[in-house]
Amino acid sequence: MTTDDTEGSEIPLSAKESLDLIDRQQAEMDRDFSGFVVTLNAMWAVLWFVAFAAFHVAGNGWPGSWYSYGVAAVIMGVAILAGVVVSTVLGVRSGRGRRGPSMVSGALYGWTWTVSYAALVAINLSIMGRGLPDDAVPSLWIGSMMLLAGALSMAGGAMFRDIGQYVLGIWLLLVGIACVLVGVDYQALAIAFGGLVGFGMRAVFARRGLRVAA
Amino acid sequence: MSLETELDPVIHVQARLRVMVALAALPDGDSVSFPRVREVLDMTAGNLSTHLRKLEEAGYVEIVKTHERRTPVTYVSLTGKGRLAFGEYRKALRALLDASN
Repeated sequence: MTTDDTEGSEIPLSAKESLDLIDRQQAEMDRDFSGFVVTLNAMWAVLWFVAFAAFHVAGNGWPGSWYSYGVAAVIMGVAILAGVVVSTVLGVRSGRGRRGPSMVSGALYGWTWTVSYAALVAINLSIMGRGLPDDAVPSLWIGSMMLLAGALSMAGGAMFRDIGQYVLGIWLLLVGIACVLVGVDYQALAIAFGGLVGFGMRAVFARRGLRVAA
Repeated sequence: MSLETELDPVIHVQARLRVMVALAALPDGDSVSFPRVREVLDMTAGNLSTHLRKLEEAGYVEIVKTHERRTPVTYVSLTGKGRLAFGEYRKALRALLDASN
């Protein structure tokens, strides 16, 4: 919408026209400032699925072990790295030309994910180095990754007053518990689908919210 | 009483109303650069400047000129008074609409 109206050429709006204009403009602002939430969650739904499905295919569950856990770890590493890079780019783009307390919170929150996952990898590798039984390794990784993802999502939801993100956090914690209980052979597959559904639903609801606003 | 007399004349102008909505969409305390507002609202620099000046004179927006890496940048934000006025304006619109129905 191009607005080249100068002061003298403004046509008075009726109350209904003004409210409609407010609704349209708000929808535009939502798309501009929050549209990346849809892309971000859709991307993580796919990457999460790929990363954990790769682990499942390396394990003993159906259809049998196709490659080693080392290959699966490389696939997961690449997927997570790609996700972090794209998330950073999207976050920076959405915050372009903006400054203030919420931008500082957003940047710190983004770094919280990166730093805490780096710490989790270091801690888990250290635990494995002390001779953890082989059958406990997948549970360690899956349980700790889901716990962190769920807790950070809930913290983000609380901080940004985003109920969708908070619910996603609860879902990820429940999936984490279920996956540890389901047993070694199928926990990676369960977590792959759990993440796909969780992040996917978050993307769908965020998109629907933008459409409703439009 | 006519519509014009009941509504805040500073806000009740299409272009300024759009500026107010855009700035009200920012979280409290945040500001946005002049080029970004111009891009989001698709307004010319001159037109946007004119309307921002009116809003600033009314105390509804704050305009801060600063430098980032030696480049001059202008940031715009809604003041507390502006947020309040916008809320009152919306309430008045709804009241008018309800009264006419």
